[in-house]
Amino acid sequence: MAEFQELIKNFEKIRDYMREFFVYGCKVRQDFTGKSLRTYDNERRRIECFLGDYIRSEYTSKGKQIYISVDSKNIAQNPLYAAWKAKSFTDNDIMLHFFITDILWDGKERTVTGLTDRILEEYGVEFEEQTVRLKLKEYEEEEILQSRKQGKALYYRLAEPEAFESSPLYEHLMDAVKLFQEISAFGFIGSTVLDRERTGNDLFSFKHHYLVHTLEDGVLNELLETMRRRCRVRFENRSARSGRVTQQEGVPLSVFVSTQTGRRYLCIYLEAKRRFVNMRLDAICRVVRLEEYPDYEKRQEELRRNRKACWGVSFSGSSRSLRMEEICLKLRIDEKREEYVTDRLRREGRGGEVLRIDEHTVLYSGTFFDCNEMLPWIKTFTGRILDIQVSNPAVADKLTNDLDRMYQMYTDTAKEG
Amino acid sequence: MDLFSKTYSCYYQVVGRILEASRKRPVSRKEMEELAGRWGFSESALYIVPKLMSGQWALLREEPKGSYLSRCGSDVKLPLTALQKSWLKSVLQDPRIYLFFSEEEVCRLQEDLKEEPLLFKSGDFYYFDRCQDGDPYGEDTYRRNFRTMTEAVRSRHLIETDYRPADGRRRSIRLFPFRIQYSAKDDKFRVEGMRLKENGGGYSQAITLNMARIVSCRDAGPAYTLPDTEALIASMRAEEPVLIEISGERNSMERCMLHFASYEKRTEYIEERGVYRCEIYYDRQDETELLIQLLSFGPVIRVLGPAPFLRQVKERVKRQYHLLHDIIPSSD
Repeated sequence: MAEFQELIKNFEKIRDYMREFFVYGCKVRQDFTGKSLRTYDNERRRIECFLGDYIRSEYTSKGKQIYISVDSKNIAQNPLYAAWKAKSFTDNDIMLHFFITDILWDGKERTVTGLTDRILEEYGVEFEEQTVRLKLKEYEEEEILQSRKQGKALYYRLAEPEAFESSPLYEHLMDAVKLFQEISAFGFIGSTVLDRERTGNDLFSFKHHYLVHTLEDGVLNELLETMRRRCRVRFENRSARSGRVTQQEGVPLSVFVSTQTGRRYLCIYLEAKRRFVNMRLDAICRVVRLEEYPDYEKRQEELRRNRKACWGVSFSGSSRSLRMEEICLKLRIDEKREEYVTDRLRREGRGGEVLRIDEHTVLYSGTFFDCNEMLPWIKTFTGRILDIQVSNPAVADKLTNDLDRMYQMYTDTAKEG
Repeated sequence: MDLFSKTYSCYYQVVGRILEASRKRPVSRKEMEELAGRWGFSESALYIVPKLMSGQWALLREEPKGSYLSRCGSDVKLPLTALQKSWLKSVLQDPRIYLFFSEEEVCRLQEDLKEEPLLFKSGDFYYFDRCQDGDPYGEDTYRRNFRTMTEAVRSRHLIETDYRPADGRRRSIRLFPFRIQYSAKDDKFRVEGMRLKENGGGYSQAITLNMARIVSCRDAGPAYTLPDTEALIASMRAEEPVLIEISGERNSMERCMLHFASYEKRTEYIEERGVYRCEIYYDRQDETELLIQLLSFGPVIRVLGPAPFLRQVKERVKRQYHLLHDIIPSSD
């Protein structure tokens, strides 16, 4: 039986399990049907190792359920970053890491042969020159080391510290890192900068903070690299609803981020359909960069123009005959006592017009691709909606139907109670 | 650039700390285990310490009495990697960086990193549902107040503020700020603190100030008695979690779990009814926000309790029914 190890070779392996435990947290061992039960046990144990303080477990009628319980408002650092700091390595890797940096710390440069000999002399460990050479090359690529060629020999030394590291600005930069390690893309990299300084975030807390996004950063990096090179892309898309896996190809143009629903999307242009489409980032895997796309800037410009009419991520409503859908929402808001609700309409209305009709009534109107996407937002005004008119009548019908169902649901509860 | 790199390994950090400790004096197995327990994952010590003691990782030299000294003599601080520099360079493009630096200082930092490629650009991301009245990061007064507050949090100093709340009536507030909260949805910073009593004798209550509503603030010296911020945070919690039932209709389970992923919660599948029950723990000051978020799911979520929370849901739903069906509500 293979010995259990905390560390992992492949990030993808842990990504799905961490997501399942963090987002859902109600599945038991038997629900993880995609992999063997042995794999489940190992991944569960690994996540327990990474996130000990945040792991909860309990027995339900279905069996033991494990979940990650975190109040993201009250943590200094995203605990899921642990997965990024769990890459496995060999005995040679770790020894060479400390030997090479220890020797080169004096600022002098050395050849591969010089370093290999010095390691044997200083620490009593014999390495093949080729092993040392590969490690030096790897660290040069990471910019930990710098090399200089003299004749046929290549001399290595530790990279110089950046000029700003010795300036008074550095302390402020670390304060900024404490913030951006949580609010910026690829925040776990910021956390490694703090690790390097042996410090942590003692200044900031975070609200509306979706910790799970870090698990998509690998895929995001590949997609941004493709966008940077203005290339087409192919990837696998696994539907969150059906689990069905499809191959997709298109031109990646932007990443749409929701600060309220916890979702991020890749916006791609499908040439065959001549449409923009958003696809969930957490459903994407196996990204392959394809050839350069000649009209990249043109499509980006089109997207910039079009996205103003997106309420969310949809570029067309259910009534395909209508290019755009108009909505008019009449709300009961008292001018004297409830002006904060009107402020919320303006703040959250995404460009829609807000007009006070009388001291009790406010009109919100706008034109969007797909008004169906607005329904969750409109329902946040439950208790105030006087009327809704939409050029696509199915949207208004769905809202009134939902509100009626809610009335039935809660009045039935009252009767039960 | 590969994001998933050995260089950032938690194990390397643990070993680095063990080497640092054992450079100054011999360390015991127990000390190594403690360091691994503190800085590693929960089972790291079981893997790391035997490797070091057995010499399989020949980084330590065994000394008498079962103690160990580092073979590495230098206190190495690794240079910033290409990935870290690219990330820092990308962050320097964010308008919020000016909360920490002047324009000139940002230019100097950018100049130092000019050779590095950007890892991402702000323009790569489109935040389509972010509120449109984010804080004025470009205003001098805002930046000055932000820096004063940040410094006070770090140095555990008191702050005196001239504050203009939503009602417009300016007031002077003395507080101990203990952290600065950023909301991605609102694109706003808020100061979380403990307010001081008017007579200066101790703390009165928890307070949250919108950074953008602070007219001015100044450092009022060190706080001689520090409030128990852990207890304070715990006291902000609502006594009971909201209990909801999720039907699963319209992909509601997935939508709901992701939507409320930022809250501490506990979910269970009720097999006999084919529904999910979820407890959501929340701070009292977020109650209205949570309430309208739950309403946004419509009938695919049913709030079951606690009673005062459920009462608010029912009131709104009932009022809504009356509004849409033009019914004059009865006096009850």
